[in-house]
Amino acid sequence: MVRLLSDIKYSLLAFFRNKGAVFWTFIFPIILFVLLGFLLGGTSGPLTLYYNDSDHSQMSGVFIDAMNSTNAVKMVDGSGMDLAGQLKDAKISCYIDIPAGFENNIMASEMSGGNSSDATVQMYYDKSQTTSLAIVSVVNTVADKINMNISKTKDLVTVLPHDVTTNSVNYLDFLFPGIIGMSVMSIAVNGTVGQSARNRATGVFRKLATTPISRVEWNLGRIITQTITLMLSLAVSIAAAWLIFGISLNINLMMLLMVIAGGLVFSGLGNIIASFVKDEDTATNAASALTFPLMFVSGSFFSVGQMPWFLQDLANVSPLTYLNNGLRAAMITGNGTDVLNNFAIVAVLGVILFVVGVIVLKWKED
Amino acid sequence: MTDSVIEINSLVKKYGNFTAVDDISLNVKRGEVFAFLGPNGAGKTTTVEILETLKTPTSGSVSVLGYDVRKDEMKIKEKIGVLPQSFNAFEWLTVWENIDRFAQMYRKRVDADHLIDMFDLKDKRNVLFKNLSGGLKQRVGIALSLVNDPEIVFLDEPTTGLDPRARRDVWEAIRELKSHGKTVFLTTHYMDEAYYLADRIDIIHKGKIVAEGLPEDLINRYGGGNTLIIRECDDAALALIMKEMPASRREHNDIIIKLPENDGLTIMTQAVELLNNRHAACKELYVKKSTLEDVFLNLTGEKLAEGVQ
Repeated sequence: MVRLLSDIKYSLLAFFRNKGAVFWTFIFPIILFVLLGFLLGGTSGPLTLYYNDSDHSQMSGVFIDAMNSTNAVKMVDGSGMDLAGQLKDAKISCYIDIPAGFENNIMASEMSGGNSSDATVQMYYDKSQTTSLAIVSVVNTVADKINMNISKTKDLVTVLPHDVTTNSVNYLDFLFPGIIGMSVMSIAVNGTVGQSARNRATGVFRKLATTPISRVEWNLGRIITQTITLMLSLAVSIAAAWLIFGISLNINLMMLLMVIAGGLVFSGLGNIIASFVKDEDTATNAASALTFPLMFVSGSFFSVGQMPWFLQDLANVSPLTYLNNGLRAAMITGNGTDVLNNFAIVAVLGVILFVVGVIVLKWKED
Repeated sequence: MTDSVIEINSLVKKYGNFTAVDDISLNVKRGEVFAFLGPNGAGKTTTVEILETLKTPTSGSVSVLGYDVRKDEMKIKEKIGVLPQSFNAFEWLTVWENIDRFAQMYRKRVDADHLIDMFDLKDKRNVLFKNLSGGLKQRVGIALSLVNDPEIVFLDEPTTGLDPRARRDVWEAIRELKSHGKTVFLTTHYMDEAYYLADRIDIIHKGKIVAEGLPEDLINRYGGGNTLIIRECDDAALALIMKEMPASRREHNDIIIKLPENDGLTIMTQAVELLNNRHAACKELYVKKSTLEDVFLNLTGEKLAEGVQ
């Protein structure tokens, strides 16, 4: 026990002195999250604005044409679609609803010469998606223009905004568990391959083989050390997500267990790679060659459902897919069955790969 | 104190069809520095790694400190210290931290600062291992091999790749081990290293032990005797010596005479007298002793340092 603690203490000490390792463990996930968050946070081609026109009148047609003629947005008829649901699932960032009686209300208001109007356009948007703000401003500008054209002075058309951010899963919420899953993979695989390949190349393993410490004990020390760094990395990422994007996440035990099980899977995989590829540089390249594609096909950054079928097949055999799914289930949907199923897959695979890794990565060839 | 701490009887180690160690037997006594001398690929490291319980023998019996290497792996590991070939410690830890970390792996431990003092590493105590020079790394490696106060220390090629100054420092560190009463099992392909450090030498070639004994005895027995060299002689001297001393051989302006094992003095006296009486001029006269290099060459027909050629 004392020697395990000493081993962990010195592993952590050595880890924190290695600036490269610290960067990849703590800073890289944040950079990736920020970049992807800003780049992909809601943009999906041209700004499309879905509308639901229940009035089917000349006036509502004028309003929609006026929106189209700005060239800033492309109006798409969303009648019959579950626009509220799509907004909630972060598939769209904004939609407008023109209620029945829109034209009549404008006419009535103009006739009466009154100041106010009952003619409203309901606008639903998700503030956390960057494109929604652009659309909101376009809608407001068009409404003002129409008011000017019709009455010169009065606000006949009112835009009623509804921010539904709090209830939705937006891209950032979706992305964050994916970033965690990806970090677990890259930290565990690259960390393990780097360390094991280095220890073999420099002869540290040969020295360890002459001491009474067993490989099981040694690898136990590694997995504990790695779990500690993963947890620290997670804490730093969560703090950064909160500071930069203001998102606070649902942190729970299952999510932590998913991270530990994922660490087991990928450090096992790392040891297996290191056992097959003897040369240090080749081994680290092999690790990148494995993790890089997995990062993209396993639903870390976009949902697996958006990918072509052959990539979806690949996603099905990628352990990272199950880690990501489990993390999302634990952190977003809270669907207990999803969490447990994914956890079971990752944990069982983790134990198998870890044991195989310990067996195949010998300290000394006989 | 002449009990054997290492006993090897008829050890064979095969890899498939290749026999790395071919039926060797040897004993190492407590407190001696024993050198296993041979070229690269002769089977030295394989033998040492069998003693360290890292490899299993194909056949034969091997015991270390009375323990069977096949059965008592852990007991042996607790009581031996090892400097493996081309050694490195944890690069991101300091000298002191490395010593302490390795010490924690054993039941019996020596204080890290004690070892740092012993090997004169005080000013490098807090330097990261990766920033040390090659010679210092080897010294730290020797210090690391002592963290458990072992009874036997195995040093596998401890000075390979070091510059002459660093080699000297490592040699002094190894002598330090001997002065502390440790049994040292040294493998090397440097004959000067074996000669300087060892009490007893076994020469191994292609998996077989070809000679065994004290360094001086080996040289006397297999070195081919000493050689008298008379340098830079004038023509008169050259002609005179060649005429009077039939055993001599001429090389440019030098005379080279192989000295017989028991009658070297007679020939030397004769040469000195010739030069004195006839006023023949030569610059210098000296006796070149044969070395372990010659021993190896004579035994195997191959050179030691360059390995099998």
